[in-house]
Amino acid sequence: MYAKDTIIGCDEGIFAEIDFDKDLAPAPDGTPASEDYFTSMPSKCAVGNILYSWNFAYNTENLKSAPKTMKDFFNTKKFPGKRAIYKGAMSNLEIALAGDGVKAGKGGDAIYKMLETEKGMQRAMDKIKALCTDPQGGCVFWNAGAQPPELLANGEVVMATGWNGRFFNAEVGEGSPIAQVWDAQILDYEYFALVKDGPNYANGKAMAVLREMTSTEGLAGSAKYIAYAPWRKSSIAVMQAGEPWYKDGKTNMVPQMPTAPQNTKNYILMNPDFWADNQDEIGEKWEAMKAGL
Amino acid sequence: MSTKKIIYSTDGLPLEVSLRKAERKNKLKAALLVGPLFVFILITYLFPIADMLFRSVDDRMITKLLPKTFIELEKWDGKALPEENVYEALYRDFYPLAIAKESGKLFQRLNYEKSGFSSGLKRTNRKIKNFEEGNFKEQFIEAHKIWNNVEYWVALKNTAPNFSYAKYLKGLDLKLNQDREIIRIEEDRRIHIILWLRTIKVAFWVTIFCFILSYPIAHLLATLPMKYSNLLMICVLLPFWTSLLVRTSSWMVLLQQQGPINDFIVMIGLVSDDSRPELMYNVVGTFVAMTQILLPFMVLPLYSVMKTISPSLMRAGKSLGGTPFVAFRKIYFPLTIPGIGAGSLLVFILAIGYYITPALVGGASGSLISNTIAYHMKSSLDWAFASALGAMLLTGVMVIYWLYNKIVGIDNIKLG
Repeated sequence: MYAKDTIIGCDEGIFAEIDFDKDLAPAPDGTPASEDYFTSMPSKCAVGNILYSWNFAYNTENLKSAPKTMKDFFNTKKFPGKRAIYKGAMSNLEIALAGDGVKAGKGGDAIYKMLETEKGMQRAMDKIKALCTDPQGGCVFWNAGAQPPELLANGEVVMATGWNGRFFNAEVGEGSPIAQVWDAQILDYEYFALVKDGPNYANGKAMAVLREMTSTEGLAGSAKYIAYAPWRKSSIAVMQAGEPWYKDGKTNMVPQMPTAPQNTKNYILMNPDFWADNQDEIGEKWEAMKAGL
Repeated sequence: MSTKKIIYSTDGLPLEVSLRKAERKNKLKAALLVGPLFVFILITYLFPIADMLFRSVDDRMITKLLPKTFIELEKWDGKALPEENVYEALYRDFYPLAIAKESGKLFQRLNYEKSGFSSGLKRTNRKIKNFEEGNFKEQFIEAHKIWNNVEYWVALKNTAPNFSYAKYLKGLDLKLNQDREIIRIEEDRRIHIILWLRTIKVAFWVTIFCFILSYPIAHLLATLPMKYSNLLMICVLLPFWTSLLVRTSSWMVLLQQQGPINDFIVMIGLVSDDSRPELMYNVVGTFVAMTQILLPFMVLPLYSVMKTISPSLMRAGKSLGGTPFVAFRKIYFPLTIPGIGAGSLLVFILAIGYYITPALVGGASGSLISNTIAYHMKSSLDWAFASALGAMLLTGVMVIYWLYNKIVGIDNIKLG
């Protein structure tokens, strides 16, 4: 689940607090779990699972030249055609500012700082509204992860934001003519949380399963099937050693990871606190903007 | 001249009495047969609806969680910041909630009242565990600036009444300000009136389109010989064999930019390849798909009324000197009005509440009030507001039904 939900659930006492060194497995070389994770957890109840990315992709057959940056995503003169964006405000406000020329700063700090101000928020909303009402542009709103690759493949849109794992599956698994762009990607995280007082909580079985799933091998294993980055540093090492790691035995997975160095030249780290605090108010304005389109 | 004579039945009782007794038995039998269904509907339909309607006005959660605060707030006049006693009462209520991790419900609920409460309360929640006794006003304000803002205290006080119609106001883009007057919401958040008008407009035009398309079909079905009309009837009813979702999804494939309909009109040269019209993710998509899906609901009532019109009536009209058009206008059409009434009412009421089709093919500009209700049920989790919108929709439909009754008369509806 998302960070903001682990924060809410932890505050309300629904989830169990996890002690990393006691409850989770150490890395094969003995590093305790608390040091093996890339970043710290947003709440005491969250255990990092994967890092995935909200990036964008385009149909290589529909566009004459290739877009390279987030500014190109919003540039309807050079790349006319409809775009597909997420139906909610999350991720759209960040890329709107990035596409408007705002530098991300360290992990997107500058962008979130700007979004906290009235002017910044309005600037982001106006950018999206301009894209959607542009006669050369236009927006289609997606809500299911499978939609962006589909909309690209059937030519409904020329560029689409989406989750990198889905684009990877369409590209490599199904052979669709799409290519991904990593500029201004938003790194987002998925966590596990353990519900307190579930049927298997007291006997420790649920915790044992969690331990297995979040071990080095467990996390590396999921990267065999989808291009999401495991959270533990030791898992990347396992993947590196076993390349090509993808289940078809041919594709190298480490370069497909959102956390690969060539993909993280300009990136934003999704800020769960910002969204947990503001999603209701922003949601109202966002729906109002959509209704007025 | 006759005097009223009491007729007696064979068992010595007056006829009316023994008639009533016999009827009572029949009525009891009928009630028992209907009983299980009635209980089922009561539990699965009426109770949930009543609960939903109750939710839209029920506002007791906050007062239950912060009782002492509200006792103190009652005496507050709402003009300047409250005094220390209110802050102390808030501490006494909030602190045990924070320790027991029960304060979470407050965050969301108060945030619906005024945005910013959620982040303010969360930070206060973290800091309140380190508060010292006394001087609470200062400590609260230091914890977060919302406690220094009269508007937040007014919003808190506004949740005091047990029952509140605030959600209904929100559904009409209105809200209560400090002095409890009704004012319009900020301009960039006024969406609901637009959505109501759009919903009514779409429902109205879908009814008209359905009528225009179904009248000839129904007429054909009613006047063709049996073997042809049976075949055509199957064609009309066949869509019902597929699920609604499948029908709507097939429209998605047809209406695409690069889909068959667009390919066809490019092929016949109506538009050039670069300026393909957008048939989907806007109102056009909603209109087309909804009309097709609701067509049978208009065809069938019209058909069953038209079937009862004898063809000799039209012949009589024409033989009396009227042109076919005049005969149609003066004889045929008025006789079909009950069917038109039934069909239109059915289609309109269905169209007003439609959710799936606008959600899939309507995009942002084609979404209707039902999509907003779904958004509040699933995403923003403001069930009170979703219930209020639902109640408003229900009332609207009942008003339309009442108006229809006044104008056309419900007895004028015939389903066949």
